[in-house]
Amino acid sequence: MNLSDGKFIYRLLLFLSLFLGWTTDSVGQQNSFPEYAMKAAFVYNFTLFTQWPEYSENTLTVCTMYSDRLREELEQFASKLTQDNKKIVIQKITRNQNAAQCQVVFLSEEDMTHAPTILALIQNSPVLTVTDIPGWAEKGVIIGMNIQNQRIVFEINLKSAQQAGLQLSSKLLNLARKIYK
Amino acid sequence: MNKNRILIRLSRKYNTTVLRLYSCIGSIFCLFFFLIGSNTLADDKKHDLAGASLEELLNFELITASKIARQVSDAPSAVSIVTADDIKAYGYRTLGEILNSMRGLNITYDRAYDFLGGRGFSSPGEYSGRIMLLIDGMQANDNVYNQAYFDHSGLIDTELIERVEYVPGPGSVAYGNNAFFGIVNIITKKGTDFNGAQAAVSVGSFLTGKARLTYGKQFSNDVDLLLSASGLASRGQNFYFPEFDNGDPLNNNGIAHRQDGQNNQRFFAKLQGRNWLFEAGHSRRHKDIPTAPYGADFNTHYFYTDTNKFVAGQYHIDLSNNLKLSLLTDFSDFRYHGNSLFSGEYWPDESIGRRWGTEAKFSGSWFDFHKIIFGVAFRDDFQRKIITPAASSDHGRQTISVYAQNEFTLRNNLWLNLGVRNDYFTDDGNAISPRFALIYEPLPEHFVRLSYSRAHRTPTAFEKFYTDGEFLLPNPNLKIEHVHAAELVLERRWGNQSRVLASFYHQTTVKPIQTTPYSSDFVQYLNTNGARARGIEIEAEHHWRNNMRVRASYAFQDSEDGAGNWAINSPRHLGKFNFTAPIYGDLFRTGVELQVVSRRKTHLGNTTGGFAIANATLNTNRLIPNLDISFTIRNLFNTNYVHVAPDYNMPLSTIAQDSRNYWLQLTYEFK
Repeated sequence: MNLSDGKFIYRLLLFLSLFLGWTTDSVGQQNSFPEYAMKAAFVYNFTLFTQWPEYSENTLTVCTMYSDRLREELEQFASKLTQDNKKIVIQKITRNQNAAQCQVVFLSEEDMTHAPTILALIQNSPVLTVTDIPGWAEKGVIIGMNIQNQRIVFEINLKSAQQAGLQLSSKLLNLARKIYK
Repeated sequence: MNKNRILIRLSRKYNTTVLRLYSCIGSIFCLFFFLIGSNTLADDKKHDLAGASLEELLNFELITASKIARQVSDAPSAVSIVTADDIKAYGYRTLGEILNSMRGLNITYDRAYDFLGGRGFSSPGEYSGRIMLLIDGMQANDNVYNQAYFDHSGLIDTELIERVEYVPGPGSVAYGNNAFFGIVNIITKKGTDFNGAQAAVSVGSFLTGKARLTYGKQFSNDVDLLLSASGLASRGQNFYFPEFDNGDPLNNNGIAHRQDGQNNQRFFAKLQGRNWLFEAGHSRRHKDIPTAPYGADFNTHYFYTDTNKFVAGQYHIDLSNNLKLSLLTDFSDFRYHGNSLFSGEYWPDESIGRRWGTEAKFSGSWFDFHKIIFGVAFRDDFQRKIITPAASSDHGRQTISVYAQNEFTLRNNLWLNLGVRNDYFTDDGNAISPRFALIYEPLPEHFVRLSYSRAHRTPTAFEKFYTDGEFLLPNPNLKIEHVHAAELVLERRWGNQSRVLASFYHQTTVKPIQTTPYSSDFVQYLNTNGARARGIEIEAEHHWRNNMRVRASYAFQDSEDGAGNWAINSPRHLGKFNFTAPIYGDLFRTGVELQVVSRRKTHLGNTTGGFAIANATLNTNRLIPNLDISFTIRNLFNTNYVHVAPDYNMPLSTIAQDSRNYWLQLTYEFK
């Protein structure tokens, strides 16, 4: 191949710029955040608007299954925050553990095969279930998050919340995109 | 050979112009990179997520994380998925290009249609029958040839596709007739994905242009609307076929001059609410055929026009707490028109396929740990008409189907899936399709899936009734063909970021329908000896947190025809490699892919060499307000390679594929 000078320089430039581009870190635009950091922030906010029936420990346990990315973000969050002087503890559960010991269970897309079993296990226990699996709020998860136009929206299954004995604040209900009764 | 080169050069004359254009655009990109690369992007004024209120959070935009897509199709086999992000990153223009990137699949193009090859099926010219194509759950194969349309004759623009899933293996248990070797499941986007009007204009090599206009909106009452129209025109290439350069003065020295053009028009409309959906589509493609198949006169006007239309509706209702009902109904209309010259005489060919169908599907959850699905379907293929100068036929038929399926959760890490379906055809009788699958998760995120399934395909109207009155003979006595397959899949996942899988399969066909060779005295479809295929597929996929992603696969297949010989056009080795990365945050994205196909056997019994093809795409992502630019180079290293020709393309045994070609697309959003 016989590259003319112009062609060669242009190719070198393209190569360099691509190389520099790849090595540049992902940069956030204003008011836009990585998906799992956003989801973690939402989960934390949901707990602020939820009332559990009395439980003795001074900790709020948020459980995740196989979504490592969400758990890491939640852990970062928890290190900064407390809720009403309660400590927030993030715990990984596997299918064999009793999810009923958690105050919040997050079911991610990775947990899809196990979601029906987990839901059956904690039926009628005071556990706030949250998911990002599309359509699962309708199937019985209390709060479902969806992505719409690059933003997170959420829907609430009020029936499931009542069965679990949880009180969701009216503010939370007002902000929900959809409520299943 | 010399002549060949001159011709190729002639046909590439246009490409040099595009190359210059490409250089220009490249340089502009470079400039951008340097201008913005150093400073502006460091502007990192992040709000604190931890301090944000719920109202604020709802207004923040998110940067979607790259993750392994979850399958929608209900199947235990090793499903392959290509998402809208992939379509954009790799610049896919047709369903064929999408399928060609998937593990173990390869497309064969005879300059008329894209044929799909995979586990134990490969023979070009079978009209991609034996593969079921679903668009949002609606069957989109025509009912004369049972063909699935993957090229520019397909019903849907790739820009409207949310995801494509390929489910390898027999799928009759869920979809009945013709879900024989696999299912291609297209899920289209919603109006809200566009949220306004979008216009796209593209230009490409071989004087190709395309324009598309799409409008999407979600109304406040949750009703979602998507409307789209597009048109494509391509002049195509001139070809030199040495096989036709035989001194015959009518053969133009073996040069097919301007016999490769095509154009298409597409419309698509989708309106959906919370529990209902209405969808309609139309596509018409006209393609000139340069290869003079079936012994037609060379370098004369030979064309195929395929028109597909459909309307479909779905309604979902909760009959009780534990019982859901889905009602589906569709109508479709297929027209084919072909014209060719034989010894100076026109041979017009026409077929019309029309059908409607309806289905009631129930989903019951009465018992914990059981998910029961059952239903009935009726389908009326009321017209399957073939018109040739020699003979016409029209044989309608009806199908009644019943099916049931149960998914047991035996333990919290063990699932059993049992299903069976019976289809009754008024012309071909009954066919039973069972499926058995066991899914086991011995350790968290380690999966073992074992399945057995059987599928069937009835002879098509074309196979049974088409005749030219002398050489191509009908065979109304054709019987249903069957396939059995067993598959073992081992999969390891790490969250939704990484996975590796290995699949081992064994598959046999029973009385497969095939033609006698075109070199014999007459051509007729017959039920022949069963064939067998077995193979191993390995795939690894990883998504980085900075949204780079890679997918690599290797497939080994050992496919034998009914006589125990190596099957025609079945490469033993197939390799795929896909890598995409964002550049400068998310402002640009590159996609690079590599496809390797080993040697294949042709209809003449000889072999043709393997090849490796690389494609590359560069996209801008909201770099310029409202305007996205996408630039693709296919066959990056300008490899000379051929596909195996269908038998009826004699004297051609292989067909040369496109040299390096370019595609530039501008997409503008009206916001």
